[in-house]
Amino acid sequence: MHSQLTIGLSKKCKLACSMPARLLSLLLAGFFAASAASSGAEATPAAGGKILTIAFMRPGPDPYYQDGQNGAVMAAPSLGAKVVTYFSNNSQSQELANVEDAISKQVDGILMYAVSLSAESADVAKANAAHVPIFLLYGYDKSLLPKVAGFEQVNLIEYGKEVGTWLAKHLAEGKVAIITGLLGRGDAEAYAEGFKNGLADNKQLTVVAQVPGDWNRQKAQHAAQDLITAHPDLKGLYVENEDMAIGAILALKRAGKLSQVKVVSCNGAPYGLEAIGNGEIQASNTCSPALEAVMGLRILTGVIGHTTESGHLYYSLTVFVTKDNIKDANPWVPDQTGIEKFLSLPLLKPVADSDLP
Amino acid sequence: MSPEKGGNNQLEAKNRPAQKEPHRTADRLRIDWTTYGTTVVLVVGIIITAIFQPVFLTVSNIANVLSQIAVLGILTMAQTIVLISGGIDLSVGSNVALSGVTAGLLFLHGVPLWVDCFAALGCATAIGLINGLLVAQNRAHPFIITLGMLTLLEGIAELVTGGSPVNDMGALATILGGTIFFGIPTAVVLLFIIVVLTALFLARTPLGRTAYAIGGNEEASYLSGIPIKRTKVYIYTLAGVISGIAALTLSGILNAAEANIGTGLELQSIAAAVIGGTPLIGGRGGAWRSLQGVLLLGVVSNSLNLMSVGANYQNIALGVIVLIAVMVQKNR
Amino acid sequence: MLKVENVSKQFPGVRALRSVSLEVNPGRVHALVGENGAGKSTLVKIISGAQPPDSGRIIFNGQVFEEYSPSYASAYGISVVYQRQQLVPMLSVAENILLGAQPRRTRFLIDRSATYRIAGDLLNRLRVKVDLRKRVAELTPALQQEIAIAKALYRQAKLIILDEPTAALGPKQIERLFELIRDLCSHGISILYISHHLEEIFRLADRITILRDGRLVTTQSTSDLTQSAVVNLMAGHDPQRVAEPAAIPAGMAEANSEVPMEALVAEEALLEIRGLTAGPVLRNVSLSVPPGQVVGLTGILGSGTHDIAQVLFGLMQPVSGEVLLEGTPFTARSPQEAIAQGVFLVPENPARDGVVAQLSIAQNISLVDLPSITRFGLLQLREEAQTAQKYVSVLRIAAPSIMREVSKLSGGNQQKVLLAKALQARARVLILEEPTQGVDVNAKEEIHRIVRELAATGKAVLVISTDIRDLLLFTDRMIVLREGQIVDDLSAEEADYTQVLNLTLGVGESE
Repeated sequence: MHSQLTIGLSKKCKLACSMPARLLSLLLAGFFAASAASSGAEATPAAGGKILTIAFMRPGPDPYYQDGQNGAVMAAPSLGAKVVTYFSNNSQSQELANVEDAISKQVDGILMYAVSLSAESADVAKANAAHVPIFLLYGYDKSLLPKVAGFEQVNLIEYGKEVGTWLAKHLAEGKVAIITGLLGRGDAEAYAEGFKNGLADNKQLTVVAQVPGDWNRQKAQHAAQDLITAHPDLKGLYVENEDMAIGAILALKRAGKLSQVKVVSCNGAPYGLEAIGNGEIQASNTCSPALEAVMGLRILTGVIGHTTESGHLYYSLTVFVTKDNIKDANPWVPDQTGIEKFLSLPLLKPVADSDLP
Repeated sequence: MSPEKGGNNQLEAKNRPAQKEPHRTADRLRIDWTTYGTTVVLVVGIIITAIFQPVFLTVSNIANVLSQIAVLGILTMAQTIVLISGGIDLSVGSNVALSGVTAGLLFLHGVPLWVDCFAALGCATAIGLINGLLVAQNRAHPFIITLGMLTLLEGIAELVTGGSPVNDMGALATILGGTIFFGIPTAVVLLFIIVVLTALFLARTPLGRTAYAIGGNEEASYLSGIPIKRTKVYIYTLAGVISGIAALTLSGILNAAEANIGTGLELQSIAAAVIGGTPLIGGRGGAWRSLQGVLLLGVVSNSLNLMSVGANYQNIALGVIVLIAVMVQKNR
Repeated sequence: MLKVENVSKQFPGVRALRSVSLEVNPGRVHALVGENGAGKSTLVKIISGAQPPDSGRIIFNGQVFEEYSPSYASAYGISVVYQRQQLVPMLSVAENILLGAQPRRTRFLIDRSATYRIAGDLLNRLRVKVDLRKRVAELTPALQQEIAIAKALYRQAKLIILDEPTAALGPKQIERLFELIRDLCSHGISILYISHHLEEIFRLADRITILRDGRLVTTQSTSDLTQSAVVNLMAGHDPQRVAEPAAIPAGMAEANSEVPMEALVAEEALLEIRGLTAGPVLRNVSLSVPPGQVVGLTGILGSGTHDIAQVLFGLMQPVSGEVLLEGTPFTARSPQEAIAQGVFLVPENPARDGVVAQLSIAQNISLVDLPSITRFGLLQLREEAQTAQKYVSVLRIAAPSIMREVSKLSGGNQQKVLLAKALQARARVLILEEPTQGVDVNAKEEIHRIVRELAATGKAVLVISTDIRDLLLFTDRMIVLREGQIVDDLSAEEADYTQVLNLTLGVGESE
């Protein structure tokens, strides 16, 4: 859960923490055949008359991926497609085996969260060789752009910046601190950088500390405890996801400082929205994995049907939420009406070539 | 008397009346200061931090540090017992996660809290028992057995929670997560009790003694009539029980249970024990020593946060300090 | 060839060597003797480069050692064959011999056929018959030792240091080793021979250096010395004290008189084995050990003596036959069960299988019977200490404190700790395997005395050893095994060394 907004390599941080477990699962992965499951309601054929089969691959058990998968499965029938799901168990070799399996089952396209950056180029090469379009959620790599149906992910810097801008406006003056996720993949760094850019709007605010929470609630709680001890007059705290934020809030609450410190975060997970509702988190930038996956599926089927151009980067829809507009957040776990709303939203606009990071 | 008296240790030893020494039984429960390394690094670390951040030595920060190390400290006691017996338990972290999640999910479904706590302890004990049985019955190294267990438990925890955290542990958050008297965190008191009990267990119980014996020389212990397999089963089971206590403490402190919350704790507990002076090869070590390692890790992380050291530098600093502590440690 | 000049070495609290000098001539066997702790191993460590001396120097073939490291010493041609082998058990014979210096096909590829060819030639020259592909772990200690010597030769050793080389060998193998040593000498290789076995030294060595308390006592030609003279020089006291060993310090003697051996144990025991068939060799063996007797059981390696111990201690299950303890059938499936029935085994290698080195003397002794010092689930450390103190006094275990880690004790004292364990286990039947192997002269006599005294309290004592001379010194009877069967059972008084030796080897009886 710590990694909902990462670049699709979300389990890497766990990899660092529990190498042994990862090693073992890596070893074991070779022994399991590709694990695929077919699900979803009856699809109605699209205009072309053929029902498309789309392979959806998720790397790990996190709810973020699970919810994305559910979104794609629910939306598929309306797009004239059915979704076959695969689970990569955080193993590159398992993921590659899944891609091969999907190709041999002659799927029309692949929609995936890749296990890691290094794995995705192999996946893309396999899919290209078999002329199967592949669309990647997260893991943007400019050099792969011509070879894929598209990339979709959050605009990392902007995502953090919106939080910073809000705090700059709603906090008159004082000390601000950041609890980051696990560094090393670029996402946690980008959020912090964006946040500081946004915060710069208000010269009365100073970032006094930036300490690690490693996407771990306990570690974030310790960090918050230490921050409030070192800076008893802290006014603002940006925690890079809501899971960690809840740990930090508990620490502030126990220190009797929650009323003094404005906590801001990002994610939009159900428990995060709850915390915004009861006023513990002041604001959060949200992004629904279900919507993200539905958009990805729409673009991919468009590419397959030659109605959408391939090879573009898209930025996921995000909604900045405070207590006043919680309803506006796109739900992680939508009902059928929610899915229909996702399907009726205008298709994402590709990022212009000149703006590509 | 020959003029070279005192030159040769062996002779000296022979001439010394032997019964003068042995009555120092009180020595056993005292902190073993033979591993000064960690202590020295710890003290130096405290002094440096106190200079740069005077707030470090405030009562509230000391309470923070102690409550921050409570879970790792309790877990390290479990690891210490296993390490002394010549084994290793990589599953303690995932045991904490699964046991915590067990309590959390039951509480979420309205089962009374005390039942949840016993269920969590039962779950943790069962895991320890299974570990013990597997280690005792198999020739495979406990490393690989408990590694398999780690992966298995992590998988189960993720499966039953669907990856979502349980964000309410009810009264547990105020009991184990709160303070008990004079603002002392309950978890700290619990840690202290567990450490004292572990020290007592290791120094004063037959099972604790046999843990040292089989960790020191399994063959000789077997030839002394010690039931090796049964001892191992007991030891891993005990480690399971302690992991369960750690799980409840963590759930209380976080007011939550999560499938991935134990990730990395197994290696931290091993590191803390070894840094403190409980070696990986078994037969030596103790509760107080291991606690020093836990304290060092806790103080370092706390002081780096207090001084607002960035994440990358925190890792580098932690690595350097751990290496220094191990190097300075007196070789025995 | 090797010159040691005024070498001194000091450890914290101990002056291990004080200005020791000696000279080893090419093609000669030079013996180094001294009690445990006299400084032999420190000297060997310095010569082999494992430790630098504090002062003094080592000159080898005219070259002064400038640096002290094992690789430096071995490059100059000094090799040590230790008591505990330094071979890699899981590698083959050939690989072990050439380890670290294998012939190579290319820079990274080892030439296997050349490895086997070279090793084969070398072993042929030494007349050692062994399958080159066998793992060293599967070989007897004797063969392992010969492999270690071959390894030294492959490295062009000019001086080979043998540390207690006969410790694990049977009589026949000792003869083989001696032949080998003489052969090496005839090729100009020098041997520094360290042993407690004086008769071996007198057969082999040209000159003897005696160390005591880290000092050089003397170096003399063997022909100028007698065994008893050497013993006196080693012990540094007059002959009477050797015969009546180990003067007890006042405090200890007092404690000793307070707790007589008889008070510790008074059980009577009778061990009877009937028609025992077990393991690969034992066939239909019957013997009995009456209470109060010390029975020696000897035979060459593989004769089945070790298997009898294994059966009695629950480490091996008999195929047929029975064991009776005071007339009641005895079966044990584990040491735990054997101990519970009053049988205790002191294994051959105390440091490896007998004691827990990290634990203290007291903790090692109590380990065998923790329930007796447990009250309300807690160990009574005071009681533990008192018990241990009692044994330390009675058995005269030399240690500054019962809290002393056993790893810091000498071999003889470790052996005594094991005997204390046997007493604490209230063993009625005591089995000792090679009890005096590798312990110094005084400790040997002490162990003889203790064993005799234990038997006098009514225990049945079975001593399994390949050291016939030693057995003859303190047993009542000698049972000789050959190829899994008893070939003779004679009273120790009527037995003599050559007769028993011949029996074990099966020599000269058929005529």
